[in-house]
Amino acid sequence: VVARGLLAGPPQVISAGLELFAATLASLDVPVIHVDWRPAGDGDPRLARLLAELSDDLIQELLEEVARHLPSIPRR
Amino acid sequence: MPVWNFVWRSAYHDSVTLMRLTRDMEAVPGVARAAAMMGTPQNRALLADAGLLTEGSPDTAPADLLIAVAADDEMAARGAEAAALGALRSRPAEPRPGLPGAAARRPRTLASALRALPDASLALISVPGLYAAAEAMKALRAGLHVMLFSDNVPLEAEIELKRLALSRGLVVMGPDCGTALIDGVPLGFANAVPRGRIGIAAASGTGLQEVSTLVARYGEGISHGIGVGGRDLSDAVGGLMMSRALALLAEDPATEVICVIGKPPGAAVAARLTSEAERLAKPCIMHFVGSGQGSLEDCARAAVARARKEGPLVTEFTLPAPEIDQLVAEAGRGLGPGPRFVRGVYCGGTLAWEARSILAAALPDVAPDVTTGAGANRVVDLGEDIFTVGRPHPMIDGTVRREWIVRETSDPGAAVLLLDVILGYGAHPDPAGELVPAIERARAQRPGLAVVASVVGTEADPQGRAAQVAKLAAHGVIVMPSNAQAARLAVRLARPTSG
Repeated sequence: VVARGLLAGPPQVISAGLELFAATLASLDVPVIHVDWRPAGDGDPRLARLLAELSDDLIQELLEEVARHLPSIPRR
Repeated sequence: MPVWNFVWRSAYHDSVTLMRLTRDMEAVPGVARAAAMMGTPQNRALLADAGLLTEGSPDTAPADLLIAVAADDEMAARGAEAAALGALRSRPAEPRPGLPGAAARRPRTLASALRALPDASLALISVPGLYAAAEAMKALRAGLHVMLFSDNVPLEAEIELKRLALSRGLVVMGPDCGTALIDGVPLGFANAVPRGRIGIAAASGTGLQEVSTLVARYGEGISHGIGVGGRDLSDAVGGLMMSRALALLAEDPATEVICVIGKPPGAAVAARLTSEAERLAKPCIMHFVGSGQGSLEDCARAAVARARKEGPLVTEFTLPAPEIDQLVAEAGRGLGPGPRFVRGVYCGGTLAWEARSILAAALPDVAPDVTTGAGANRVVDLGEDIFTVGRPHPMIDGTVRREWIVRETSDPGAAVLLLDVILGYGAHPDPAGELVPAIERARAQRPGLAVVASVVGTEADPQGRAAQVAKLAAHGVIVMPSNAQAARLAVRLARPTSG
């Protein structure tokens, strides 16, 4: 897949994090989807990092969903 | 005053929501102070420093919400917790009407968002820094350009992301990239500026805002504003994205003149950027804030002049000298004969550095950076990473800045308060009004205090620049046309006999 150039036209945006940024874009009629993001695996950044390494979108999504409902992973 | 801690397990909320919870809790009678933060070790340390962590406070995971309340009694503390719960329940569960995807279930991952918006070209990521690199990595793998608003992202992660992006023909703007304007679309904190022929590549969010709004005020417009993140120009990152941004603007048919702005680059990056800029077929104006030469305002003026094929106008003040003298005389009337220190309390990082460097060139004992505050004359940038952990950026919420205004002007030598007021999308709906109570408290404790500000923004911004300027002026604030001019006026007030 050849990536579209950054300046090749107005961006269409996926926003994760502060909802106000997505709301601003929506108010300007920019196509935008806000992700209802929350940390996976009770917020364990190592797990989040591991999940990000997975390439298969569907597996990744499923695992993220599972991880979100896991109890806290015991830490050292 | 006794303190209570409450923990809600697996209850993640963003910093803007948490700020609202804090405000609602502090409005409960009998509550002196409250905080709602995610249970990360950093946030626990902040709460401990603030005296808001109890000895027996339960352990928390980063996705647990930790609520801390200092109150007269347990009933008031429980009332605060109930207020927080009420605030969350009253929050719209679904996106506002008009937000595409409002009818459908909201996607919870980037992958499902991409299925809902298959033509998406860019991911705007503003999750906490701890998780931001992982989300950016996913976006790049999915073929999206990334604007990484989040700060507190490790340097190694930034380098890895940028290398991956380049190998895939993608761009990573950030981390800590506050502002971008891509083909007229404002991303993050950006202003409503007209489209035009000046392109900006910036390792500085508020620098981009200052230059783009000044260009607009001078009657020109912006083709694109590409942010690269404040660390991009360091030798460690090697200006990877600045080089890419320069190449993109060089190829872009709408761009006639290119501005490069940032803090002074590392030696290796400086040499390479200079040679890259010389090879461009378009005029390129470079300005590095704190280098001691020129200002962001000069950079905007030079870009406009090049676009119009005119000679640049470099000026210390836009107002005629007699009017500046009169301003100095009037504002200085209430100041005593003792020492006159300048205290800058900023929310824009690059603007803070610019003010600091202007003070340092003219006044003695200026703090060497914009965080520690060690120096009679000093500027603090409350948007710095250390002040924003677990908190919204001061451009969104001025609570921390109001506290600092009062604190910085409690010193008997404090004579001039210097401020930046930043308008635009994403910023507080009334940044000037939000500062007024703190300015009044500062004046109450330090009668005669001179207050000097600049307002970054345009008339088309949601807040409207003229109305914000008028609100400040009505409270005795001297509003200058640019940050550089505001800092120069502060110098004149601190040294009334010179220049």
